[in-house]
Amino acid sequence: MNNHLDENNVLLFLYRELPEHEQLEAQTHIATCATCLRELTLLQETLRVYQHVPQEVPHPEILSRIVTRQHKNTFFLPQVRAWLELFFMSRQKQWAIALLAGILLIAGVVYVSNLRSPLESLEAGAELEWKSNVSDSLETLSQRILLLQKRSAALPGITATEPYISMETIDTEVSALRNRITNFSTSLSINTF
Amino acid sequence: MESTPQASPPSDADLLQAYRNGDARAFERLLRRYERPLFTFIVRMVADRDEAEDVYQDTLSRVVEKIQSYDERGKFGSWLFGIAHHLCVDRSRRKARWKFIHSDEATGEEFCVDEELKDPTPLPDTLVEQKELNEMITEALQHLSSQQREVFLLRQHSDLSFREIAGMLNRPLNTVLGQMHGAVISIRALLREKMK
Repeated sequence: MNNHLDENNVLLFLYRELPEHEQLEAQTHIATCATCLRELTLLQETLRVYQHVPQEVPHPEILSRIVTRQHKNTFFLPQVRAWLELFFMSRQKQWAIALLAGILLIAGVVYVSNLRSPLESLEAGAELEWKSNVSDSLETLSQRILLLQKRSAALPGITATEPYISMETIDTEVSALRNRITNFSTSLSINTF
Repeated sequence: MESTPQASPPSDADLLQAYRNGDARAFERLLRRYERPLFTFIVRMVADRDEAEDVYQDTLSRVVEKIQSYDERGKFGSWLFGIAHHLCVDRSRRKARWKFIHSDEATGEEFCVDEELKDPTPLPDTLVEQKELNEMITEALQHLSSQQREVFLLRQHSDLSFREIAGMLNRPLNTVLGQMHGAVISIRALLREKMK
């Protein structure tokens, strides 16, 4: 190589950015050319001084804080964001979802208010049965009294409308009726307490 | 005796892949690699440590914001320094505009001296020398044109080649090399003057 290396090539040589064969050629030339060697040395020395200056150190927390925040954004928030997207849908969809939610809420409240515990259900069944027994017993009782009235022609002041019934028969009927009333009263006291 | 082969450290691409697979520490490890050169680059670009911390934070925030869309065909370092460079230039422009608007209030101070230098505690000679050198370099960098400064700092602190820097700055390679050469000569001249 007859000509000197231009300053750009000296720089590229210094940083090893020339193509391989040109790097070798430049090296050979510099070894024998005082001018180019001086130029190279001048650049090298200045850069060496610059490299001697310590690097600046940032506060380590800055990086940690930002990376932690990014991790949350990347691996946690997207799932939350998917839910939050509900709030960013069209107004019609928002209304539809709100209406549906309202209906479900009301239905839920009604259902829960009608819900009975097993004990409550048992008590409700027993009460119904008890009322039915009372009703039956009262009806039977009134029918029997009516029948007795009709059959007691032999008694003074009562007009007989039915065939005559002997007193023994009436006593038997009354006795049976008394037994039923007693039984009913017993069941009544059980249900009450 | 058989020697255990030393495992080579994972590449930037390996760490990025690990991060994408859910390893947050891999991303932090990747950024830690560039922490010092990146911060040094920013400090020397903006010539103010407090401001540099702001730009550094902005750079990292921008990186984490865009990391999902980062194209892995390029070098991570180029991308990272590209973002930092863009933010430094943007801030310098805004600062220049602000200075122009408030020129009456300008104090004439171009940059702040590192706060640590104001510490009256005596330092060992070597550290003092380093501090002095740091001051001189900082001053020398401020005497460069902004184009020279950005080329010089990018080449010194990032692992970008001159061609890559030319591509990033959208300048011809020879222009970039000329600016680098001019920067080195200016720094040398100023250092020689100061050391007399």
